[in-house]
Amino acid sequence: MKWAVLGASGFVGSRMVERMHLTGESPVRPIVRGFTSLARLARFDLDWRVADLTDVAELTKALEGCDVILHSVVGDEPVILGSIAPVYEAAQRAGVRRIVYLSSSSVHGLAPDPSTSEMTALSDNQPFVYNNAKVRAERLWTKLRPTGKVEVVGLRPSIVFGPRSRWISDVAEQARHGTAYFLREGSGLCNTIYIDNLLDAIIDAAKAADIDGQYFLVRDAETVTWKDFYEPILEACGSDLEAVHQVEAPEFQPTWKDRLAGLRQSHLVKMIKPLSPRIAIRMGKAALNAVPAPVESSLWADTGKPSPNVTPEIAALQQCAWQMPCARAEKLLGYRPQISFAEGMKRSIGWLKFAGYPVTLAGEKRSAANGPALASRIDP
Amino acid sequence: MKVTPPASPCRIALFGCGAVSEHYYAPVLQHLEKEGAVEVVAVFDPDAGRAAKFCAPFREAAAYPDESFLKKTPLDLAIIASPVSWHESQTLAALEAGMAVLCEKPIAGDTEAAERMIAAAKKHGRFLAIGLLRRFYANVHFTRQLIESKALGAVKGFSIQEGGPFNWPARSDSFFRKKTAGGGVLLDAGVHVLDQVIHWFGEPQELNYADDAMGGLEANCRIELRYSSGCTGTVQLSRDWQTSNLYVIEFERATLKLRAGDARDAELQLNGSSFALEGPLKARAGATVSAAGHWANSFPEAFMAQVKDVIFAIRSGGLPTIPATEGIRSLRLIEQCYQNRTLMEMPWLRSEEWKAGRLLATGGGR
Repeated sequence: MKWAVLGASGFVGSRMVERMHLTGESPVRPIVRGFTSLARLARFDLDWRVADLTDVAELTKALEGCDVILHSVVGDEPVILGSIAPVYEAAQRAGVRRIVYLSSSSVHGLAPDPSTSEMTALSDNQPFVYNNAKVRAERLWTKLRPTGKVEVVGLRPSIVFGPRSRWISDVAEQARHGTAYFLREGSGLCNTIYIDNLLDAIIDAAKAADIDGQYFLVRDAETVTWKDFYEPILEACGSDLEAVHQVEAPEFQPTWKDRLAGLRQSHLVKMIKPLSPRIAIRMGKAALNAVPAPVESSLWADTGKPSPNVTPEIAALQQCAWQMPCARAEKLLGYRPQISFAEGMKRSIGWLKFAGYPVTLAGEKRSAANGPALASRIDP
Repeated sequence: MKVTPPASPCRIALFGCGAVSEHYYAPVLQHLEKEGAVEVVAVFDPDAGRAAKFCAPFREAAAYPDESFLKKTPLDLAIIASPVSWHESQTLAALEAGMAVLCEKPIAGDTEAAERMIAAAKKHGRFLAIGLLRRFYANVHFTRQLIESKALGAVKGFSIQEGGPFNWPARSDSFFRKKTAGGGVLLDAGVHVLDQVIHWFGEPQELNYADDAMGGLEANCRIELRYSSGCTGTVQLSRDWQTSNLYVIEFERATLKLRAGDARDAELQLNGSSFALEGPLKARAGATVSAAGHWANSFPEAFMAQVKDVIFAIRSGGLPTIPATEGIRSLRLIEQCYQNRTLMEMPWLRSEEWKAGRLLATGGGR
């Protein structure tokens, strides 16, 4: 079974390529959108391809000889949605058997209602642009599926962590700058999945029979809170839970970007789009003028102390009270997480050290942990 | 070295119209052509369309698909901005045609080729300069002055992290093919970094080197250096993940920090104080890096400075600020690194992956 990995330079895609190439489990062909994206992949001698993901002819050529596609393309809504139809058409032409699409549990919201499962109806009217884009992406795959023979299976992981994960590096940065924070004392559920467990699920999704058109929630075996997630990283970085700011859930004003994204999807814009440009511009300006100006930050802020930057996404995620079920993935894909959360975290912290963060691994003494010379002084 | 001063303007041939030419040499040469200091006459690239596009803003420039122009067009300076695998042959051809050469870094894929290039320059009585433009940075020069003068005491150690996700607007995958690139982040960004390290501290007595190449080119590497003075240092480079991009040099009486890629600023913290001085360096009377009196506050200014520097050298019959004999030093250190290479610890790899990785890293199959 030969894999094509779209989005092969990203966190998930590059680990998939790394694992497939090193273990020899299956031949793998990374496909990236530009030459610049080859830096990480070029550690190996690979048969990579560079292709415009909106160009069916280029994609078809790049996919030739591949049986399965991992679609793990990341980006904003135009990127998320823009590649789907061309990839499906090219996969059809190239004779691909199945596409494994990496969706996200965020299609259910960042703090989903208890009892949420794969069967829960999705909404693309959520407060987060990314969530809506992923919902629309799933709908687009469903719409395209009857037009061809290529099967589509989707996975909905939540907090995917591991080497080169932003979740890991962000907490390390927060530890370094004293800006880590918890809502509800970090008791919210994190719904983690270690990257290698996700890769197992991806491989299961490529192999399992009779799952065409279905989506699966996947996670680690353990119940992990945000406190559980932060604690080992903070410790490795020489900080601890005492240093974490405890914050209340703030009320967020939508950003300009959110407002504009919302505006583009609004009935008003859809209504004025066919009008003459001048009228449309006038109406658009009026709508924008109605948006209040951003509030200037206080000159009297205490600049000597670090303060956390609480974002709407993290605030919502940290208030999650529902552990996503993965019974369906277990039953239909045969998915079984092989790596424990603790082991996944240990490997992730090992990567932090590899990447030059001043961390101490378990069993090391802090003074010797930062390698020779002055690595511990690398602190902006 | 016998050099005949050319009649103004300096007649230039450019080899290679990739990103460095498009983004940096093109604006510099356009500016200098307007000033009357240069005339871009010949542009070579195997991609005729790219060469023609480069020529467009220059009055006399003609695009060539091969190097035949060297035999029929009188020229003063060749700028070699091709992939590194072409540096030697194009430099030799230009020197043989009687031109001085400014060759992009690294000077060559290996020191043997670099030595042949240096010998050819000597034989033909023309200079060969290398584009290690950070030596024109004000803060690089400032650091060297502090080290040489021992104004803050001797250097005890240093730590350098440089790099982030690769974002050079590469026009082909030549950066990532062993055959064309010759090396990964060490040979690419590392040439600049190690040139600075050598410029400041000289050659190390010992080194340890590890990277993450497993059959391809390294995206991350780490070097530990030890000097006869007792000074130790580490250099970590990445084109995979964001590093702190900091240079930290610990003197006996103070710590100096520079931001990677920044040409002008410095932070100085004197021992015993919990505050630091941070800001742009101010040039005082007589401040200069080169014989031509050039120094740079930014990356683009450094490009301008190095081109002006070689033009000055041609006109004055002198040598450029960074001749190939300097350019080869970092390449020697890089070769020493590759000869001593080990695989970086990657604790996220499963045991069978690690075994395969080690095998691939030493040139074996999986």
